[in-house]
Amino acid sequence: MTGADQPAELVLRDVRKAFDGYIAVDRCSLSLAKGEVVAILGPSGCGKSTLLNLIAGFEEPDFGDVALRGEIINKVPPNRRNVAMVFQNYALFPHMTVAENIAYGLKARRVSKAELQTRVAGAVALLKLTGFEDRFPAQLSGGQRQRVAVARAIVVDPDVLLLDEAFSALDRNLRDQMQLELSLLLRRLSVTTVIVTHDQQEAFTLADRIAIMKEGRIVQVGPPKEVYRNPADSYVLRFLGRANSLPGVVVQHEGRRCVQVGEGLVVAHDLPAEGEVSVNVRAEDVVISLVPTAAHRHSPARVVLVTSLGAQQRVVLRLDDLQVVAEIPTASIADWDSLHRNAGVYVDLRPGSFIVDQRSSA
Amino acid sequence: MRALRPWLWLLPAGCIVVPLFFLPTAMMVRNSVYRDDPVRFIVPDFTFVNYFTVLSDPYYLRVFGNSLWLATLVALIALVMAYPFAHLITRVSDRTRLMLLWVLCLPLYVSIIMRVFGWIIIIGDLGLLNQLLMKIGIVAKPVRILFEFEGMVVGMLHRYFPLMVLPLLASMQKIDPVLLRSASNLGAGRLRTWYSIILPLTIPGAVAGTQLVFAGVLSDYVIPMLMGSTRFPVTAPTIFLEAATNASWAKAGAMGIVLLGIVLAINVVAGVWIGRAAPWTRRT
Repeated sequence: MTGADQPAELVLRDVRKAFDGYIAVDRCSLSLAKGEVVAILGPSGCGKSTLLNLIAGFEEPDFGDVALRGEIINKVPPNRRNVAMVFQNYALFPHMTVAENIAYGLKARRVSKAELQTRVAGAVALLKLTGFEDRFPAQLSGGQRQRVAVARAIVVDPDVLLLDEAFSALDRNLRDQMQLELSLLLRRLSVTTVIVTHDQQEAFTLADRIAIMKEGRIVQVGPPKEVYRNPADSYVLRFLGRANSLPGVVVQHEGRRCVQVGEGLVVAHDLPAEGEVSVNVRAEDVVISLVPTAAHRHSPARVVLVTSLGAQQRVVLRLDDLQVVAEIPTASIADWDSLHRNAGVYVDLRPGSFIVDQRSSA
Repeated sequence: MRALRPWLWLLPAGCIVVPLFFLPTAMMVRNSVYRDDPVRFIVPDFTFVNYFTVLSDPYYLRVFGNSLWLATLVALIALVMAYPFAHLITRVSDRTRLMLLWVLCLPLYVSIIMRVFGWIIIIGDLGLLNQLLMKIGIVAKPVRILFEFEGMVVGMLHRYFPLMVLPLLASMQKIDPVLLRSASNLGAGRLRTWYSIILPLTIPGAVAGTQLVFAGVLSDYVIPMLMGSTRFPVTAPTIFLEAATNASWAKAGAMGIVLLGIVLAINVVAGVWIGRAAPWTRRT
């Protein structure tokens, strides 16, 4: 689902929002098809929460439009939008029981009592909260609280569901489990969802498409795999996964334009760049071999540290005076003993996997 | 010795509370079961006759009734006034908030005598309010407010309003603003947000404020004396009258203990009631 083949459910068109001269969201455009799950991913302060607040109606755009089902809702107050949000710390009402919390949105919508009870019971069952209906939020575990927050949001049958860092308060195992459960639930209910997170795993687990934000702008949108494999720029590359940023210089080598990293590593690079550059490459795209290849003029790198990540091994290397981190599948090397500390190995970068930025020669 | 050490920290406060509060209270309890005697002042007979008089004589019952009615009315008006005021304080800028808090606490800094003089200028027979009413032609002759029940209510409100606002404000400021966003997000308008979120979450503060105002009004002596009327006798001045003018220290003691009992009972009832009306506060 890319949103092109179906009428858009939620559209952000050239949206801009500034606070006291500081531009939080800068001309963002995004379009979601019905049932699509999009994750907005970025570091804290990149404007992703503001974007969510614009959709929820807590903020009004200075410029541009927010449209829901073809209707511009810029000035519609939050309580008149059929948009439900799961807040970062869930924002459950402490004085209401689980059932009362879940019923809140239905009461505000003046749903009849019989229907309200049916729908609350349905949401309770769907989120496995049976037996906890009469508890107060303070009597629940973190995972249960999150379930209540999700139940409270989806029970109103929202046009758009918003998740604001909804998993950050959970510990790792619970987070993995809840992400998986929620992912299945969102598919089942086919609810249009916008997720805001700084957690790559959360975005990749839940989203059909991810939008990477940087300093108020959306720099790349696409399915997770595509964004991961073809990052638009070095920022996206560095943001997703573990990356090295290595200084290099552009040189001519055997008639080709190449980049030399450190003293001995030369990699082909045909795109325009001159002088001093940075080479951005993911740890998994750093290749290690015990014998030199064409890329190496001389001087092997030295192994500094090998850490096991389970299926992967993280190898920290010293290439001349640079530190390079490589992550290689455990199964790909038969003889790990040869990669002992101070062992000499040859480092290469997988062709086409790295992005070269011009470094300002200041 | 080591076990006693923490208690040393209570010593400075204890030096004040024990001789100036516990001791007089104990003496009052003792007096209340003695007998007043026209000649010998108080006679150490053990008797409950004072309590019997105080709790059965229509005059004393009316005095206690007056006090309870006054305290209820003042607490109610203060509560109704305090909600919008506290709400305002939570919404304004830091600067304005400081100013509003200062204005709120101003009556606590100013001597009660000064305040009564101020009220004479405003609500006295020839005060600003009456002059205004007469000029507009609403009334032909001055409305008597000061030195009446109404004047006493005004004075009490002025004195005890801060005690209502401060605990209420504390509980209002404790409400996480994201809860209000959450309510709005779920479709609640301002009115629903107010009565379904703000009101229930501020019940503990409102009850605490009501307790303070109630206790204050019930035992206030100065305001009834300076701004009230003898046609509406209330407890504290009556106790003073019994003790100082009628030299009935035993009866005055009994009244004092009854008053203390009323205040304690109200606090206990309020505590139980909070547990019922705000169950989330007891189970965590």
